[in-house]
Amino acid sequence: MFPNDALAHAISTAHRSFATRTADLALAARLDRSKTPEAGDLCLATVTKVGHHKHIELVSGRRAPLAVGDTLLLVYGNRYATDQFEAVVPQASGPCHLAAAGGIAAQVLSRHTATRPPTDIVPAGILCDANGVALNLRRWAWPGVASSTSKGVRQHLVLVVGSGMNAGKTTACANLVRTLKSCGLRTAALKLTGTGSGGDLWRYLDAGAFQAMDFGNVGLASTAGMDLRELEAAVGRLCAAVSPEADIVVGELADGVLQRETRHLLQSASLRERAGSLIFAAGDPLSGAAGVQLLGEWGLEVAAVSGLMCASPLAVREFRAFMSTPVIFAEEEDPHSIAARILAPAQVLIARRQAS
Amino acid sequence: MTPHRLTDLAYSGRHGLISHKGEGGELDYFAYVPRSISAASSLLVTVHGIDRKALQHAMRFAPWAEQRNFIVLAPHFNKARMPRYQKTLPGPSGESPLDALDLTLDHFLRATGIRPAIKNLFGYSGGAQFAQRYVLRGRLSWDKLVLAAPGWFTMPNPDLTFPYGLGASTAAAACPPELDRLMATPTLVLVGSQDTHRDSSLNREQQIDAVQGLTRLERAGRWTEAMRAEAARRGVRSLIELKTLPGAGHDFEDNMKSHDLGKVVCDWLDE
Repeated sequence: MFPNDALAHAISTAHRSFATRTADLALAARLDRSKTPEAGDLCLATVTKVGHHKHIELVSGRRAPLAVGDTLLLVYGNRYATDQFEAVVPQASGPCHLAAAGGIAAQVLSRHTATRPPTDIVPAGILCDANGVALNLRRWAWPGVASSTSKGVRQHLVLVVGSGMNAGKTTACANLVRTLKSCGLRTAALKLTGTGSGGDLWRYLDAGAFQAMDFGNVGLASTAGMDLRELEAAVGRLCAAVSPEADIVVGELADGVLQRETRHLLQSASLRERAGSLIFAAGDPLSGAAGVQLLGEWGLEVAAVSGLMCASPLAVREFRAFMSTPVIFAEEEDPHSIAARILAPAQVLIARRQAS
Repeated sequence: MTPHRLTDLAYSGRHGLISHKGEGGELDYFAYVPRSISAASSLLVTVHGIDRKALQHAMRFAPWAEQRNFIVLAPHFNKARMPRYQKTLPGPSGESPLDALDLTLDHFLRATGIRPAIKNLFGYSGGAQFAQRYVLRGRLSWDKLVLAAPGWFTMPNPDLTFPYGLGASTAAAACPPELDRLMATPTLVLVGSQDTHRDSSLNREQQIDAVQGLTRLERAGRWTEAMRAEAARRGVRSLIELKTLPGAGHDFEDNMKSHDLGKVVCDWLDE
């Protein structure tokens, strides 16, 4: 155990990562090296070798460069990132890795061949309160008392999914936020699943989001590998946490539609009931066509396709030659025209729900 | 793949936000259908100003639609397609804003199967100009008309050419204004008590300044008086009512949020 003043000093001088932003560190009274880590537990760790992640994202959003010997305030969590790391919460509090720049401590199991080995860290222990109970992000989860309505009007949820990591989902979300703001709406943007990081939330806010939140606001460090029922409930709580002052909600599901949690949520009654319309972010024309087709087989009508594909006029032309699904953000278009495209299929979804 | 067409659907008690991307003569539109929709639900068509924020109109009236059980339809007059919609003048391709609204309403009603017994028309700022001129020139009749904060009016004066007055004009030759239609439509003129700024969005032509006054507040008063005088001259009861919103300026969003615009409109429509 650390003496309290030493712990307080260690915390105050550590780089506090973005993923820990909701925690009240005044409750930290002890550092426990013997506890088995759980997802969401806060820990102090020292950098022993700088690898793939050369920076850590602080609560402010600033990216602080890392050096051997730096102390970091992190949170244990799983990571699922096809372009980077597959990582899990370690079974003991020994050396592990910085699996995400947002501040996720985990044991890396595999990595993309283009990704360098992860940054090595040695946790000093799990932060606990005066009673020896681990400080876990669950403790600061939004209590979940509001509902997703605004003055009796249910907030329309535009759900954004994609073909995979880096398919342009966040860019599509930011473009949607900007478009809906141009139409005079207050838009809340939600990162519904993924790994704790501020990058997407900053993108939403910079695009003009009235409110931006992620699963961290409901007490999660990441959502990979979660119990699927608990995940559904967490997504529901996050949707319910949206301010009643918001007119409309844009929600992003991480990774591709084939990924375990994304696939489950898209087939869950709760999210189907909640979603008003669906946008598919495609990395290329074939993934766009396949995604629209697959989602159609799951009974989900895609309102429009966007994503990285839209950066290439030739790719968009290929897609349009085979598919009638509208493509948005490929060319300049009146914001209301885009809004008219993306909101219309809400009725198709509802009709299908009622038919099923 | 199945195209996303509202026409594929038959209305069956669904509610919430609806939108449609115009693919024929109809406009893009946004609609809000309340949970409590029934055969008794009325329809409010709301027309945006020159900021063209149709979706915002649909959303701001949505809570009132839920509370008072009416359907909101907010057409979007695209700037490139309908640059002079306020004056009900055709766009570059010759399309008439009057016909476009008719087609839009027809599309919405056919697509949803909704058959409202009562149809009311609301316009804000440039949308109020359109609404007034639609009632003068358009095919459809409306149960009630609300003209909120129009920049200027078509005066009940045959000596002034349309759109300044009712006099013959080549622009309106196809369907000339008929004052009888407007005089037979119960009309509420609404304007903010602080809507007195002569900003760049206000038409400041000398002719309008001289006949109608310098501000929206003054112009609303003069037009109402002119219409009442015309009714008196004809020996009929004037159906025009003028209300000011205390403390309100010209911002639709602010007036809906802070100056009871929605409540005043809905109360009057419910009378």
